[in-house]
Amino acid sequence: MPWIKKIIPFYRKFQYYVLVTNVLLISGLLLSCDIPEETFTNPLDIEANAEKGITPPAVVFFPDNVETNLGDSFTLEVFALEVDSVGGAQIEIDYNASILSVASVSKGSFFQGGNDPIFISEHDNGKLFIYVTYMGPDGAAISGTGDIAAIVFNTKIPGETIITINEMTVLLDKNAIPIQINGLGESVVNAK
Amino acid sequence: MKKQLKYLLFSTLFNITAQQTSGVPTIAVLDFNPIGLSALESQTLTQQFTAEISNTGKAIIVDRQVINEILVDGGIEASECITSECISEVGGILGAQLIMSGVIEKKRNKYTIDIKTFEVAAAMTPSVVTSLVDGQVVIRKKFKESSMKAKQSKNITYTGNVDGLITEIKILAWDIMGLAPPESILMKQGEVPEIFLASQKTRFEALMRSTLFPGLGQFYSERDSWGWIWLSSGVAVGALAYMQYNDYKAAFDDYNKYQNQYMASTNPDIISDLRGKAENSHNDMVYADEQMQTMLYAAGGVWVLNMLHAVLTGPVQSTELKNKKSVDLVYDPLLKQPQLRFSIALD
Repeated sequence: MPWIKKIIPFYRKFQYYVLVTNVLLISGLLLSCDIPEETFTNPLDIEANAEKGITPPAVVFFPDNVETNLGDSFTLEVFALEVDSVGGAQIEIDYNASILSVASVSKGSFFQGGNDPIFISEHDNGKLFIYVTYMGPDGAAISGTGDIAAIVFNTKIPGETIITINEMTVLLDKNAIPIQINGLGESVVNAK
Repeated sequence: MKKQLKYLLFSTLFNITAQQTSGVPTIAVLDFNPIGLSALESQTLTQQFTAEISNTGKAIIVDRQVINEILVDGGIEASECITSECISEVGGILGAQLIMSGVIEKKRNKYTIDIKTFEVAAAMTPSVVTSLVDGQVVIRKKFKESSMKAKQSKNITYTGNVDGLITEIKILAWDIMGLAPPESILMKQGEVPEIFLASQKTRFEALMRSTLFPGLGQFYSERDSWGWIWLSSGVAVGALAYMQYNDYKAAFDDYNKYQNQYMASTNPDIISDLRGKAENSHNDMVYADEQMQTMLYAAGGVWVLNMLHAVLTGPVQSTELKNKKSVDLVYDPLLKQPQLRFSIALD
């Protein structure tokens, strides 16, 4: 093997370096690859919510974690999760008004079909109220999972804050009778 | 005992006389005087020289045993018989036409051999002298005064191992006889013995090569079969590890893709599906990683074992040497005596 003869002089010169390098190489070979931790944190994932103690029917934010920059705006969607025969909702949201401000609130796609639902929102000093109800024929109701509203927030100063859906929130059936809610979501916002 | 010795002497001298008539000179070779060597080594080298003189076919060699017995009888140490008086006396007794005597000196691995050839046949014929001592006739054997001078002197200087020295001695024997050495001896001159070549390879060099890559040290050590075994084992296990790494990488990419899609999705059915896919990919990734680790451990094991094998077995010795026992009981036809030889490999 003539190619070996060519590298032997070089190898002799650096044999101690090669020895150390190879020992390190062999040690490196014995190390395992990186295995990322399994993280399933989608707030609309029934299993993930169950692990957090939130079971349907529930009202949650999507996403439940926001990283943003100062001055930027971001959108939080309010989702009804696995609800049954909902005809209306009164949602009350708390936020830190010193860090965030509400830029806009818009109707989601959940209450669709038939007549357009009534959608009202108002916010004041860290509280946001959303009222939505069907005025459809025969008191229509809707089931399943869907977005009730989309809220655009602005960041005023840097900081971390939690936006929560408070316990005053209610879901109503077509007869305006409250439906049991098992879980209320929150979203962590980090403004840098 | 003395009767036996006299009979032996008589028969030897008779034989020598008979041989002298054939026109081939009778030569007695005295043990070389050793400097820096043992007497036994000197005797062995003298025997090699004597045997080669005999191989030329141009001389009749006086039996070594006869020489020794005559020297012992005369109280002479063979290796010390270097003066012309001593040589002439011995030559006269033996009736040899030529006597060869020499000095062999060793300094480290440098050998100097100086051999002188004396012509004694005419000068040293014994004569019988009668004289009257105290009224009685005394009969004595007397040699003529020694007039010997070295007929020929040859010396060589050789640096190297003993195998090469013996070749040089054989060539010297032919040279002294005024003959050209045979091709077979000349071929050996300057030839580096296999054992010498083998000793140039070291275990450390083998280790270094095997550290560089499995099998290289074995190839260096001339253990080609082992070299291929280690090389192919290393490559095979490495290839399997690489395949597992590819599987791991594919599963890792899939996991990240499904995870990103999962995080972005707002449809619970799709979320559930993506979660299942991501979990499967994660399991695949963990399995591939475990397999890869196993293969890497195996590769590391092969590597380390190959290194240990290279350093423990070391460079292969010559077949002849390898098959030789470390203790041999042999009969040396030159010395005419059994020898117990014990050898230890020092590498």
